Amino acid sequence: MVGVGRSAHAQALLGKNAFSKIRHSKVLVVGAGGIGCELLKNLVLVGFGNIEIIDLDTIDLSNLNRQFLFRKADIKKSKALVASAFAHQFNPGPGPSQNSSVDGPGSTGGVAVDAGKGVNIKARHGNIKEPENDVEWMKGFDLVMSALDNMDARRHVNRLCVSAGVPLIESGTQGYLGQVTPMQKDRTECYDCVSKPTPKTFPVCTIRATPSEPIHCIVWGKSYLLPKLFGEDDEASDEQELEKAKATDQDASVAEIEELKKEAAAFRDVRKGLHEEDGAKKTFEKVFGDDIRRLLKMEDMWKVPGRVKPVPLDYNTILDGSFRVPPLAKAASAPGKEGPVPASTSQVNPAPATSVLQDKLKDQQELSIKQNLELFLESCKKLSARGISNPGTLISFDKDDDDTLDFVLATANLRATAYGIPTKTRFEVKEMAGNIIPAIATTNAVIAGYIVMRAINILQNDWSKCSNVYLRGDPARLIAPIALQPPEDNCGVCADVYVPLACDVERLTLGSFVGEIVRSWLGWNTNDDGDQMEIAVYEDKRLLADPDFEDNYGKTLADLGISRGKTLTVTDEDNLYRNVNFSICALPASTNSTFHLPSNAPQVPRRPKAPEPAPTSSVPSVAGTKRSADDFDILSASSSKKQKLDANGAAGSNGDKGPNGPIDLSDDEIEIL
Amino acid sequence: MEDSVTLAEATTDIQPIASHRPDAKTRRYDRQLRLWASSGQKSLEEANVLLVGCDAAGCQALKNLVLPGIAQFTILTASKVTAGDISTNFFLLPESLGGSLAEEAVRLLKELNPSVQGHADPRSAKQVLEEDPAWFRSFGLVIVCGSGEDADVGAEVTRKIGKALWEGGQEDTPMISLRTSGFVAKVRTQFREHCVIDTHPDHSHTLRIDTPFRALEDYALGLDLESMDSMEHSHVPYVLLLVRALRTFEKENDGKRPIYDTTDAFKEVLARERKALDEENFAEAEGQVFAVTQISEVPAGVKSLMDDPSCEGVSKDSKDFWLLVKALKAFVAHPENKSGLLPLSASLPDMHTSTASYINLQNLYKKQAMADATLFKSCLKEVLSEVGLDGEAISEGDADEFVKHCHTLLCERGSQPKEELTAEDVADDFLMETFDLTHGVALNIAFHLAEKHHLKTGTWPGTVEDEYHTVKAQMFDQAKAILGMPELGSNVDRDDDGRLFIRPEQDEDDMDEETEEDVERREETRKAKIVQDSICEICRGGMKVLPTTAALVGGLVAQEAIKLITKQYSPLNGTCIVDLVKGGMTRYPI
Repeated sequence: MVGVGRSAHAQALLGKNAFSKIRHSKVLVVGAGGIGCELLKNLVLVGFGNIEIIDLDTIDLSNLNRQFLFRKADIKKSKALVASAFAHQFNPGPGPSQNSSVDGPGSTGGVAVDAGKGVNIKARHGNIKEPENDVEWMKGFDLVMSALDNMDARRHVNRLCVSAGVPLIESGTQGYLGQVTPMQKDRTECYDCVSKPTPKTFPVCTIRATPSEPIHCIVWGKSYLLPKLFGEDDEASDEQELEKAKATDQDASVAEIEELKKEAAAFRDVRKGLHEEDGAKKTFEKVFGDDIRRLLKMEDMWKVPGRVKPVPLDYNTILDGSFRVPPLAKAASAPGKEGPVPASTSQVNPAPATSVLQDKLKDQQELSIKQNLELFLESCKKLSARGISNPGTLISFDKDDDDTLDFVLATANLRATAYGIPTKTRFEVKEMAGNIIPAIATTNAVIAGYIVMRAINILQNDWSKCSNVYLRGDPARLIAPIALQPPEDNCGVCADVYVPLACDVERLTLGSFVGEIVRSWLGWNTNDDGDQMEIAVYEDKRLLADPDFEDNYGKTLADLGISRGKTLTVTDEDNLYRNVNFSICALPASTNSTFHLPSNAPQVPRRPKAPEPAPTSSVPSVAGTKRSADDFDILSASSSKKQKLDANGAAGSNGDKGPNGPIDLSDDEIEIL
Repeated sequence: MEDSVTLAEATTDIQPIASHRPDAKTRRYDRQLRLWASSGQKSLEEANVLLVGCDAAGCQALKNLVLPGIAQFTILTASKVTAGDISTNFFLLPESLGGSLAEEAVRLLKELNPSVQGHADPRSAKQVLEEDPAWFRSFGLVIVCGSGEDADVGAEVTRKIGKALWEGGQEDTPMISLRTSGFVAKVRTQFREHCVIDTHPDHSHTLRIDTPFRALEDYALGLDLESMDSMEHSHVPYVLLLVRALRTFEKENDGKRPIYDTTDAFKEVLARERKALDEENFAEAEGQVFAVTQISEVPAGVKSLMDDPSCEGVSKDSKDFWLLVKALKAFVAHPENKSGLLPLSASLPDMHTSTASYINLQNLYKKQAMADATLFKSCLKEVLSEVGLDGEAISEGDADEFVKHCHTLLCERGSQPKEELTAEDVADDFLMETFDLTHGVALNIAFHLAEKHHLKTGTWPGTVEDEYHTVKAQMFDQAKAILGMPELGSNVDRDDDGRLFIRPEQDEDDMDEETEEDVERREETRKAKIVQDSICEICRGGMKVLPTTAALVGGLVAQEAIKLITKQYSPLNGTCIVDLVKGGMTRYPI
């Protein structure tokens, strides 16, 4: 039988102790994508006994070039479920009993090593950010391995691990590059200790009125026009955004903003008529005709240097081929590797060699303006047809949803044409709009191999053997181990104190939270110097209470929208102490009280003395100002907006580690362009 | 082909709306096309790969080649599936037990990608080597497995296949051999010559500010900065500002160019034309002053290619690469190419300027780049006709591609593995990389010794219990001889089994009176320990394969295979030692 030979090598090489640890520990894998598939396979083959894997995604055709646990027939099914079913075959049968945890009572001495047969895999198709995945749940794991593809989820997992004190192995790949970073609170840096590049943002008027680069047109199509016509059209936030722009964007005139407001209002009529026979045509005429003509009337607007007046597009002449395409305002700057030189710059540029063109894939060919218009009409019709068959469904951009991609491609190119900006191919638009980064099997394989090695080290609590690993394309030094970095003193996440707060959110009021928990239990009445302590309470970036704002005291946590899985952050207004985070968990059913806390309150450490008067240190900055991950933001407010909203930390939080700091890599998405 | 149904058709019955949408194959490969482009994909889809022997690491490597879509693969082994194989190899199932290893693995690997063909060849590699060694050269790439798991492939087979492939001359088939032992592994590439046109450098701008081409200089000097309004003045591209300042500087300094020491003087010249302190274009120019002091020249790597005998002696049988390099050399020396440099690149970085000025500048560069490319192509035609080839033997598209990447061309020349390692090899090729005896160097030597042991005895060190310690002791002595290490220090000793142990340092109090001898002894001890540890690690592993090592090595091997197949990026040339315990990976040229 196979069982005899199973894991004999692994046992012999790892040693009995280590093998027993991996058999009886419980590990969590977050993400069943490129790295996740490799990782799950390795864990099962090495003999890990208890694995939970969670992923909210379903399988797409473009996954199959590397996510080898999936087949074509699995498309649209849950990644986590398919991966676990497939991987389980390689160590069939149930794993070791989960009660016999190594650290459990009565198992201090030599733990019986089983034959390494069988594995318990719990697969969940769901979001790691769901409330049920709270700190208490996280504490049930000996180790978490994150194989995620976006910054937002990584941050969430990091915070959960920090609050639960569970070690985390963070990983990511991008093309030939990859990295593995083992982390544990108070021992190493955490994911948020290192500042991440903020996603690129664009001023609202650049997107809405004065684009000058292809990316401006793509963002417009994806984040403005698509939601306006088919998605969530939030009038209020739209208005707000423009108001803010008026206040902060120096280049935007009041008149310009007013025009943009009118334009937005007119969309509501267009949207209503979209399903009519000529709805798509009318939309085109409004967006690429009337709207542009209206902007052109603003003479002053076009006097700003560098701005190029757009040319309105005409439906009929484009279709009959007589439309004169306006010249490019600026040659494509540094054409991308795939980017063919736009044909219309050909004053000095004879037609590209045909042999090159023939090699191009279908989606790497330039579309003519007529093709773009036809594509616009077709994708409009398709998207509005979806609205008719499923009323109330809001459509949002998805790089793998061909209709939305076609829509963005067509609108971006039409707008680019009007503004004399080079157009892009479908291949390029997909990459730019979908934040796609290359992903291949080989890098994931190498990275997953290292993750398992580190997992074995960490489960044996042998941190001395752990290092960060960076995989580079450079053949001279493909893998570079780098010593683990200590936690960042000013980190807005891992320098904080975390306390689990089991409570009934329907009954616990903010007032008693402050009075009974913060003032009494935590002892934040007076500080060590005998001064009265002033505190503020936040949920994420939302201010709930501060010395001048006690209106919420009578409300229950539920009233304030605070449920299991969320965190209440308490800050000391004098900034002497670290923040204290209360992670909301479910109250055990047997308890009658409103809340339950650990028997001893933590000693909250003081913040390190701030380096001599940093002028910005009075403004708490932080995690809050970091932008959400996987999307472009259209920046509307100036960065100088009052930071009262920010909860965490003091001066400038994350020290920039410069070029030696870890690169942030993702499997499928990249946060910035 | 099964893959020719798009997702839309498969799931919704809706016909795709337009021809610009990619087909299913493109969609499947989307994420990798963004890395090696359609040209790289085309090479992959023509690749025919042979795996000799079949262990977990070899199958993982194949997996990583089947997923991105090579044309076909063959597994050659006469071995049968054992229980041990099944426990480490993901591409075997419990019911595979006792079956043909090649057939079982091929069956499961093929499931990964329906467009890849797989063949099982249940012959023994030894037998094929005897009967038809040239057969190995019929593949585009050969990967030879190296764990002790598949008894069909040992050190001797690896060596002989290497020889058979090398004997193909310039048309040799590249080979990647791998060996894993527990937590450590060795990967080696062998090829005579590997030429890369597209190494994917970070950028390819060639601004030539120090030696501006005629049109650029005329345009820069012809600008009338005086009469410009402040808006126009603050949007003159920094490239032009630097070219102007350079001329003025040379005029005022007897034709001398600015050098590092005179950058301040140069900055003063530059500042004369500045009208206001907030002019961003001037700030940009100041930040780029180094571009004036650095002299543009033919990059050393390209120069050495142009001086290479393969370039000098091109014939009609030469690779396109060398014909193109020869044409490049002719271009550099051509009287019409006044710069004496490589063809100009048309790409410009972003800079602070108005759109009109930018497009003017870009057109200047494009025009010159175009002229250079045209001249290069005429040089190429001449080279082709000189060797008796048709002028169209290399397509215009390929020539354009070459020009685009001509600043970062690469030619790697490989070698056969050494049969005997000497102290000189170690000094020249191992220690040069690290300047110290590291675990990587010691592991490399230990792998070499293990292979020698296998050649002699047919067994791997660490696998025969009775001789476990004697073999280790032998290997240690051999390693010492190779490294030219003196006798062991007085505090190092061996027990009856040959195990090395180090007596603890005596009197700690004497530390401050440490003599040079003491220091030397400690250094020797340290080195002896490294060698000892490495030999132990290899023997402990017994050339067995661990799933996690297999995954990592499989990834690494496939990555190098893809670089060799696509002829993009720089490949590994030589040996790579992977040490999962220490987390590192080091490369050695032999």
